[in-house]
Amino acid sequence: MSNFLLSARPDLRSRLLPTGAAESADKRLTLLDVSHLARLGARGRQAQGFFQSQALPIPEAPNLATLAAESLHLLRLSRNEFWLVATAAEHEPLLNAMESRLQKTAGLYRLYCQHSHGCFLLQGATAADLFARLCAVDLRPQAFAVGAIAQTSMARTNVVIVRLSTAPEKFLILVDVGYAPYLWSALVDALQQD
Amino acid sequence: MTQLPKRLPAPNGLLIDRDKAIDFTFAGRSYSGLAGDSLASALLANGQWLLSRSFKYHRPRGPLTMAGQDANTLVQLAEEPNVLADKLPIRENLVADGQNYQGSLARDKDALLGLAAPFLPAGFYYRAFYKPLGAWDRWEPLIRQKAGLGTLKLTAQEDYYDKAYLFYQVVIIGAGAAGMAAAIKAAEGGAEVLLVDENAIVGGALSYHWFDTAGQYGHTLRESLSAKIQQYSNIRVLTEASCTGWFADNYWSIIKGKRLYKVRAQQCVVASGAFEQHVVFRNNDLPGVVLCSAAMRLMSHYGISPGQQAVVLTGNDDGYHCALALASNGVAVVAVVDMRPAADDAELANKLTTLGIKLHQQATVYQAIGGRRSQRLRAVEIRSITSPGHTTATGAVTLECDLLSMSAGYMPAYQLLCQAGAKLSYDDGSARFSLNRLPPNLRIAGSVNGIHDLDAVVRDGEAAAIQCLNALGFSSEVAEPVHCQRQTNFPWPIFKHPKGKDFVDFDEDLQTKDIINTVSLGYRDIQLVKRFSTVGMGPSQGRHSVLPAARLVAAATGRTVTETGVTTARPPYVAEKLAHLAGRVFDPYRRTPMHRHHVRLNAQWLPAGNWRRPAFYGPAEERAHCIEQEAMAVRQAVGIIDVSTLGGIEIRGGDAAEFIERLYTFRFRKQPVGKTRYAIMTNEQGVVIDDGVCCRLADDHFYVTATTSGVDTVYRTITQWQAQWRLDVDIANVTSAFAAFNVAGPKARKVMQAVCDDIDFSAAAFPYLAYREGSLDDIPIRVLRVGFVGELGYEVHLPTLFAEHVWERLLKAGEADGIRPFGVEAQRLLRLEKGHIIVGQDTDGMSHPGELSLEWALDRDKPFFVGRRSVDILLAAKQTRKLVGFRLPKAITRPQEGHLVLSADTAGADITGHVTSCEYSSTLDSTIGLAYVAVSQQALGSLFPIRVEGGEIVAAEVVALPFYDADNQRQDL
Repeated sequence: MSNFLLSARPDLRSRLLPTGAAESADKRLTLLDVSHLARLGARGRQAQGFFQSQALPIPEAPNLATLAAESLHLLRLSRNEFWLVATAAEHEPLLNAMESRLQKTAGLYRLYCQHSHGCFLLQGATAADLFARLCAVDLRPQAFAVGAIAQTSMARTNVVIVRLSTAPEKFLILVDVGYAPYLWSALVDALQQD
Repeated sequence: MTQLPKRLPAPNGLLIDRDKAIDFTFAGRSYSGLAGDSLASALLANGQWLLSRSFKYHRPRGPLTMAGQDANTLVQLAEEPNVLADKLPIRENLVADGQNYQGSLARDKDALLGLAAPFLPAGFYYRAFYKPLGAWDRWEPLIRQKAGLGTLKLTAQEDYYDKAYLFYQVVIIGAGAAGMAAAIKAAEGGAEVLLVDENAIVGGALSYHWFDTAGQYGHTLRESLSAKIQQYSNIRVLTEASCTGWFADNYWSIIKGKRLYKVRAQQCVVASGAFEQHVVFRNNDLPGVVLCSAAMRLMSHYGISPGQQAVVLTGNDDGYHCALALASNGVAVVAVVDMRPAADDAELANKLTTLGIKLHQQATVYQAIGGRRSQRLRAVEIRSITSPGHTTATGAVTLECDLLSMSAGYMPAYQLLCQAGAKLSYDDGSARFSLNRLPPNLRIAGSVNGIHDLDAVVRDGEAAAIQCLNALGFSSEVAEPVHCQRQTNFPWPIFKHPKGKDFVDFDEDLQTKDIINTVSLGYRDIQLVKRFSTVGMGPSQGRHSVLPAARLVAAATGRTVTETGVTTARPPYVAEKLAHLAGRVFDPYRRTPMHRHHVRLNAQWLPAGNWRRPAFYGPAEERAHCIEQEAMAVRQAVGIIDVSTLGGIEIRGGDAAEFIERLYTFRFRKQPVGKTRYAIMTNEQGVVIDDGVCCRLADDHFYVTATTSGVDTVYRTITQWQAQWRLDVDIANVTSAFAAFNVAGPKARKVMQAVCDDIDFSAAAFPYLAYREGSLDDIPIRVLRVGFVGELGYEVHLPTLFAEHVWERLLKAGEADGIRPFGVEAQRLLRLEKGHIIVGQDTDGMSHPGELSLEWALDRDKPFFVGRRSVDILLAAKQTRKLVGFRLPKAITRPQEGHLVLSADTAGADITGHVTSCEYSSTLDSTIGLAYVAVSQQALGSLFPIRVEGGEIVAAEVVALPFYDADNQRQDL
């Protein structure tokens, strides 16, 4: 198992969708598929310590996320579960090296979010309105601050939603990779509506 | 374009665009209206007052409320029946028609049914058609043809509907004076406010009603409040939006256009207003008889003069305002008929006198008289009131008129509040309503709260908002209580006529005698009266009939109206379409990473839960041939199947072996690393619920597969057990993280060797049931040596995003050896030849390991596994059935899955089991299958009967399993 690196060969990862981007009719909202970019997850008693040792800012509580670096987000999904999600290709070497270190660390379990989940970026001033058509959780800035995470259901599919910023409105959406094409089509459909 | 009718000058016509004409068709005639017109207003502007025919007697009907609150305006559109004409905006080339008529709308032959009214009392359906047995079946088609609403077009293409969620600190239902004042106050206090109104503009009664003798006060106040609302960015106004229901914790359903909003509110103010009530007298349903508010709406909203000669019938001072408004817009007001002895505001009466309008006090309209041809109001007969509900027998005055505006008072729009648990009370002395027992965080304001004086209404709205702000912690201001003593309701506006047609309920053509007769038949409870007479059950849901019905029942039973009560209000408050409830259809599907490749290979699909799996590849009409070819490729060369839908669960941690040992029936504690074992899971009842392969990756790391349809249940089950056991394990459902392919066939080793050089695939180094890890182009792979289809086989599990690359590499590597993708159908055939069961297909909710001959997969020496005690009991008990393999000559009719196994091939034989799997095997050139049979039928070589299609009985022979390669030489290759 020592050489079983999930972050291996980023060049051979498939794109999930025929088109990796979509935008609303008024062009105020854009949706981007970043599923092929690097992600890393770990769970266990030593998880917090591991990510701290990697000089990453640890979210204070479950269901919060921090900005580790530009386009790199650390999600705390439970007390002892963390996902590091890159939304730009430049972080590939960092995550690859980190996975190797993670493999050698006792007391934590590597998670498979690199391949188990699709990952979308939604950006635009009307993002909360779009969510309102798909999700029963209040994702407006006043109720869902920057760094907040909702593990909920959207369009009848389990998702993890992270607010990355308010100006501009920017969200990360993680979904089971098998449902990713479905959720993408549901989001694109909602994008087209007023 | 037809000629545009004349409209009243501004400021009348708030809703219309006088510069934009729109042509439309109604009942086969062309008309022109203006943008902003409703269909009803546009027709009335053209003098077309006949809009519909009544439900039962086919009486001519025109608008009553002009607010979408009555069924008189229901019309038929090409694609949709039962559309409210007074809420439907006209659009270019709109085609509408009346509904529920025979012949033409103007000359409805079914109107003759009115002559039969004495023979069609309330509840006649129940009494006339229930016997003899079957009578209803004969009558029903005729009744449905004669009494009904519009025609549904079953081929209509439904439009796009969807739903949205909204969240607000304060939600205000109703944007009249109270609602607007509340919204402004709440927004001033810093709250996020949603203001909802069903009308096209805010203002409610301010947009049409006169609150002073000049008609200016309401208009000015509306403009002022409306301007303030626009200044607040924290107020969202939702107009043309109907609130259809209240649900627990102030969850509101609101429909706007084709969208259903689900609104969660922290604080609520319901300022829903009140419904003006009609007066019950003979022919009170004639076109031209309208509520005062309808006449005012026509003038103010649409700039339409509602008549040339008008009579106003009222039980409050608002009727006087209506008369003044009509007169100021050029309508000749013949008389105001006041049911009271005198007006509350003497100045109003003086004003009428000044204008030369005759005033009849303590009098009523005894009957309305329609024109023979026009079918519209022609005159009214006025009589003095002698006592509640009674008039003088002589001295009637007949007044010529084409408009009668009436107002008996107001009933609060209580429906949403009663849905929320509020209690509606009525004071028989003052004829006033009140609502109490409101749920937490919900307040009422304005006329729904019994406040009718305009200044008090505004203060009441503000007071409600202050209470909301206080509850939100935004303010500590004290809300001053608001009171109003203004009398608006006339206590007994019902004047029964000996010839009837004095309608209580316009929707259902119910007259006063129908309600009284219902009570006399013994239905004293208002709920029973409703169900027997159908009062309040029509499209307007009793907005105008509940109060007169309650009054009549109260009088007939010697009780007060409060004691009588009103019928229950349930959602939806206004009609909502199934399309609204359905919304956008979210039908999640799941795809394997190979989906695009399967499409390119012309896969025919088979649903498996939310997955779609290739059943076979090739033209649908060549199904049998394709499956046979795919199976043959596996038996003779090599095939590859996408098994990514297979469940995958990882168990890691110091107690991983102990955990597996408890969950699965076999022994795993001493399973060597690098080995796999077949694993079956039983539930606490001893029933087999799933199976899979358990791989030991390390001492503390297991990777267990599960069936496609069973993995979610397995994962849920084992996490539940872990919550009890609290072992040192981590459980991860990795189904989606790993794609998987099964490369099977005598040449499978060659293919694998070509793509992966860091695993020794030799039989000695990588034997059957072994597990290895390696890489393919530096992609990490897990390889399981399996034999599900009975050939040398390798199940390759790999991180999902690499699946396409690896699939292509395997196909390329096997090209020379004729590698062929195969689907689920071929896999099922191949595993059947090998005698392997599929949990879920060959098992049911009763199947225990003994019935399935899986005793070998039980470790009965270990102290515990889930279901162990039940399995012991089941195996010790007398067995009743057994899953056996059977064979039939191919020429005999092939049984299908589910066909019954009988105890004998004679009539009346018992059912002893059923077929679970059955296929034609070209390898064996016969039909083979699995079936549950009685224990007495399980002997090898014996025959048992199966009843197949058409009742034919075929005899199947019990044979030993597997059907193919009994020595397992091929999978051990």
